[in-house]
Amino acid sequence: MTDPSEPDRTYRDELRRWVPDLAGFQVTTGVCDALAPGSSPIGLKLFAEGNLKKRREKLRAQLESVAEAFDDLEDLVSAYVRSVPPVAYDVTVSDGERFLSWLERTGELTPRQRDYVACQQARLTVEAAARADRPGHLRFQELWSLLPQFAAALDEPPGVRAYLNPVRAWSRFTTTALLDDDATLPADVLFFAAGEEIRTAVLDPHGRALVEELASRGPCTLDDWATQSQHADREELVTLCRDLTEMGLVAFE
Amino acid sequence: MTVAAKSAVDEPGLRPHSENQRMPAIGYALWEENLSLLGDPLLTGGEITFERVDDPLRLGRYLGGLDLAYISVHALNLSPASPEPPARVYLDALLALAEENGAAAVSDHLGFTRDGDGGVEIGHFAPPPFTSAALDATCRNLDLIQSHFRDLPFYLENIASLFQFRGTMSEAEFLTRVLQRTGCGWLLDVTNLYANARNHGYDAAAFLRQVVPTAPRLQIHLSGGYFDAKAGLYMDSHSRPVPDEVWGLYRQALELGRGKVDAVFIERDQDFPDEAGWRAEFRRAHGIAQAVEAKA
Repeated sequence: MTDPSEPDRTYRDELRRWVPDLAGFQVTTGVCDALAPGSSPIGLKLFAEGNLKKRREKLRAQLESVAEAFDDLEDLVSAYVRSVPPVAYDVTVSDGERFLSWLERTGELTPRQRDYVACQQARLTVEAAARADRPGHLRFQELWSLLPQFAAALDEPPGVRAYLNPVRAWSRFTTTALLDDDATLPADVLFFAAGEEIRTAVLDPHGRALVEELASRGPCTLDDWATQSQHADREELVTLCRDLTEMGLVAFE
Repeated sequence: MTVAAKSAVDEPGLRPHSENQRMPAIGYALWEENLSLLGDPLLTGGEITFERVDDPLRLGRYLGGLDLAYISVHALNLSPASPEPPARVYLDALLALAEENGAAAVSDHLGFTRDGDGGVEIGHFAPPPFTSAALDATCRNLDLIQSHFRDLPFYLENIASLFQFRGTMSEAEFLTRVLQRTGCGWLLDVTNLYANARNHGYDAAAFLRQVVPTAPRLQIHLSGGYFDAKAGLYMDSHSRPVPDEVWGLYRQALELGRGKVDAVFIERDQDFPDEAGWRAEFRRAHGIAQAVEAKA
């Protein structure tokens, strides 16, 4: 009697053999041998070419903001799609992110190019964070939209709690290619969702430490935060929170 | 192939649905380019393609303040014919989009877009070999998908393919078995059926007669492509008006599926028409549906 899992294993093996061809990643004759009578390899070729073209178009769209730092981006994309297959079952990491990681591993990048890559990576990370925690993204943006109602809260004995925007990603730039000319380098840059856009904030080491402190504490009142903070007293936290709420990094409930 | 071509628009006196008719919702696969049609009282349905509108930062519903009687979320990457199930995060994202927009249904294609976990992504759905193993894998995944979407009916679309793999049964038999085993709906893409009939040499009308009776419920897709003489293949490009042969098959599908067609969506993804062109096609779809209902 045939093992019931045998046909399933065979099917899995077939797809593993066929799929790289179908994706246009490689060309072998194996998949042609599996075609039904009357099916022409021409159809297969058109299908694979279409998939490769589509992959390149998607990559171009995802890499729009690094394009100006690379004169040879098209060649790099060509080299990438020839050497790295598109990965299945990883909807949280895009092909664009994989390309950037590949570029960092394989390319000799200038500091300016590294900053462009870091910037694009941070943007994609913010999008991935919003996708992974959509309720958190919606909740924070709703709270932030109510900020005018909490304008006085910072000066009151507050029961209100400070929330840090959950959709954020840190990056570090080593050139001023994407910063003001007088920026202090290296610069810690926080990318975050503000409404339906991505904004950035450049924070000094003290500011970064406080943001990370709030991130590790989770939502809390300013009094609680001030009592346990390693980095600031309440007055300083109030000032910080004013700045962060204005940017879209902190909201209150 | 026995396709009754009808070139005339046979819908004099178009009117919105009356209470005693079981008219399908009729509309478009939605693009920015056709959202302006949504005020038309005859346009009662819309299909939102997940991959097209997926914006993780979006705060409101895709449709904003616009509304339609019937919304369906269309997916491209569930890959029901893969040996392994779709990713949970993708299922959740589809469900979130459906809930935000008040969708009545979700759909995807009868094909595979990847091999297995950690394997390779193809980019577009390929036709499965019509074998028992592929049938088992497809049904297993559809059971999981339907369980995830709970009260939202799921529809499986027949795809247009430029090639087919060797199998042990026909496409019609494979699809029939899938529908019978899983109870899912059939998103009958009439143009895909027309394309496959031309490309693989079978009878589209016979396919309809075999499969429509087994489908518990239906949605319908209509679109237009072109014949590539060099390749000898009909290309399902969604770039042209719906051809007359497809309108003929559409009428037959409505007649065979009377009472269980929930929605009809016209797909146009490129070379967009002007507003009159947009309106003409869904009015024609509506008129044919109304004529079929009137004969009931």
